Amino acid sequence: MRIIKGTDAIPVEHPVFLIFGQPGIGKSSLGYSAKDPLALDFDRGAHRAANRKDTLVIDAWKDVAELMENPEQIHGYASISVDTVGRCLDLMTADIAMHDPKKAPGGNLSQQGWGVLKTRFRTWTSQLRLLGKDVLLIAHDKEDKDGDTRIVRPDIVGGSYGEVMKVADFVGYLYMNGKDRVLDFNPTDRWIGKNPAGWAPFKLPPVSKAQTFMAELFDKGRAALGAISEESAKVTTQVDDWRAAIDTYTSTDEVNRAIGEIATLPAIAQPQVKKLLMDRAKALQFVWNPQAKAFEEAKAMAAAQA
Amino acid sequence: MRISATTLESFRLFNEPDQEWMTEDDLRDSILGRFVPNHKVNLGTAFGKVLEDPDHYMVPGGFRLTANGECFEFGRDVMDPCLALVDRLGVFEAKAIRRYGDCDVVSKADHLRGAKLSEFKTTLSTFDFEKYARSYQWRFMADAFAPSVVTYHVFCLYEAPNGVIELRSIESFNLYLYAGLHLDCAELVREFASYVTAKGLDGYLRQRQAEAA
Repeated sequence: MRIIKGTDAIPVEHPVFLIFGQPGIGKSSLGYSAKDPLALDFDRGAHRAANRKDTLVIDAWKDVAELMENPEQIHGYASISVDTVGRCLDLMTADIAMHDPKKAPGGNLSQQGWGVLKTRFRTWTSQLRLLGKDVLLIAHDKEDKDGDTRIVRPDIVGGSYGEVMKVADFVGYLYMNGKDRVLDFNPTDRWIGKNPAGWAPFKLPPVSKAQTFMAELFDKGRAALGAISEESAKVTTQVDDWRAAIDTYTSTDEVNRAIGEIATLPAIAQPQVKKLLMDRAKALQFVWNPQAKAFEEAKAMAAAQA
Repeated sequence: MRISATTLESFRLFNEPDQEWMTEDDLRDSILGRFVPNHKVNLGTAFGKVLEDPDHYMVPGGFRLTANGECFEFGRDVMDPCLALVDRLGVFEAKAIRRYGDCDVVSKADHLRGAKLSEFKTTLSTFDFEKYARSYQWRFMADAFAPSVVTYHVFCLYEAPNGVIELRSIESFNLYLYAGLHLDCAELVREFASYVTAKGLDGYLRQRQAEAA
C-alpha cells in the first residue's frame, strides 16, 4: 500500500481513447494495432478489417457480462477495443429493457433508465481499466447541421453521448484528406476532440504498415497524462512553498517585495500566488495604493490622503 | 478595450445559429455591465459561495445564504458530495488577463490547484456535455492561465416547487488546451471588437481599460 501525497503526481496507467470516423475508413483495423488487442465486435463488422487479430463477436450484453464474470478469459490481452461504442450502448439498453422493463417502457429508456445506462457504462470501462486494459472506443461519425456549418460528432445516442465524452481521455476524428488518412485529436469548429497531449494531426501510415500505431499512441498518451500530473504536482509544491512564506509576512515591505517576484512566476502559478498575497495583505489590513503601485498601512494611506 | 470572458461567451452564444433566447438588447446589457441576475444565476452564485467557504454559511443540517437578495438553503445531502470534490488548499476566484491586440480579456477561475483549473457549474436542466465543451469561457481561461487541464464539475440540481433543492448528479469531465486554442480566442475577440465598434459600444469598454491601467 502506498499513500500518495497531495503534491505527488498520479499516473494514468490505462487511458481511454475514443476514435470516430466514417464507415470503411479503417477504424477497426486501427483497433487491431493496439498492444495485444481483443476486439469486442458489437457491429459484426470485424470481418472487413485488415490485420485482424482476436475478436469476440457480441450478440447480446450477456456475452459481455459473461466475459466480465470470467476475467481470466481476457487475461492475455493488453487492450480492449469496443467496436462500436454506439452499438455497445444499444445492447446495454436492450439488456436494461429486458431485465428492468420499468426503466425502459416500450423499449425507450426513461430518465431513470438513462441514469442506469450511464452508470453501467462508466462502471464497465472502470472495470476494464482496473483489469489493466487499455480501452479503445470506436464510433462511426455523424454529421449535424449547425446553421451554415456542419459539425461531426461520434454517433452515440442521446444521453449516453455525454457519458462517453466524459470517460474518454483522448477523442480523435479520423478522416480522409485527399488520399491521406488523418487522425486529429484537436477540437475544431467542425469536429469534437480532446487532446491532452497537444498532438498535431497524425497522417496515418497505410493500413498494412500501421500494425503498432495504436500501441504506440497509447504509450504516448500515458506519458502525456503522466506529464500533466507531474507538472501539476510541481506547481502545487511551488504554490504551497509560496503560501508558507506569505503566511509569515507581517510588514508592507515583505508584501511589496513579493509582488515583483510573483510577476516572474509561470502563468498558472502567478494568479494563485497573487491571490494568496492579496488575501494576506487584506488580513493585515494593508491597502493598495494605485499611484505607488504598492501596499501601504491603512493609517499611512489615510494620512497621505488627508 | 477591457472585456470579460463571460461577455465574450455571451457574444458567441448570441451569434449561434438558431438561438432565440438572447435578444440583442440582452447582449448590449451584458456588454455594458447592466446584467440583471435571474433566479438560476443567483442559485449558481449561492452554490459557488458555499463551495468556496462552507464554514461561513453553515447552519444546523446544511447551509444558508443569500445571493443578490435571494435566500437559498442547501442540505448536507446536497453539498457534502460536492464539497468532497474541492481541494480546500486550492485558490478560489483567481483572476488572469490575456491581451489580444489592443483588447485585454479578463478571466476568473473558480478554483486552481497546481496546474489544474476547475470550474463549478450548476444546472436545473439535463446535463449537456457540448454546452460546456463548446463554450469559450474555458477556452479564454485556458489561454490565460495555461493550466494542464480544465475540469468541469457540473452539479445537476432539482428544485422542488417548495424551493427544496436536491442533487440529481455530479458530472465531472476534463478539457484540454489544443493547438488552435489561442487563434480561436483571438478570432472571437476580433469579431467582438468589430461588433462593439460598429454598434458604438466600444467607448464603455475602453473606459474600463483606462480605469484598470
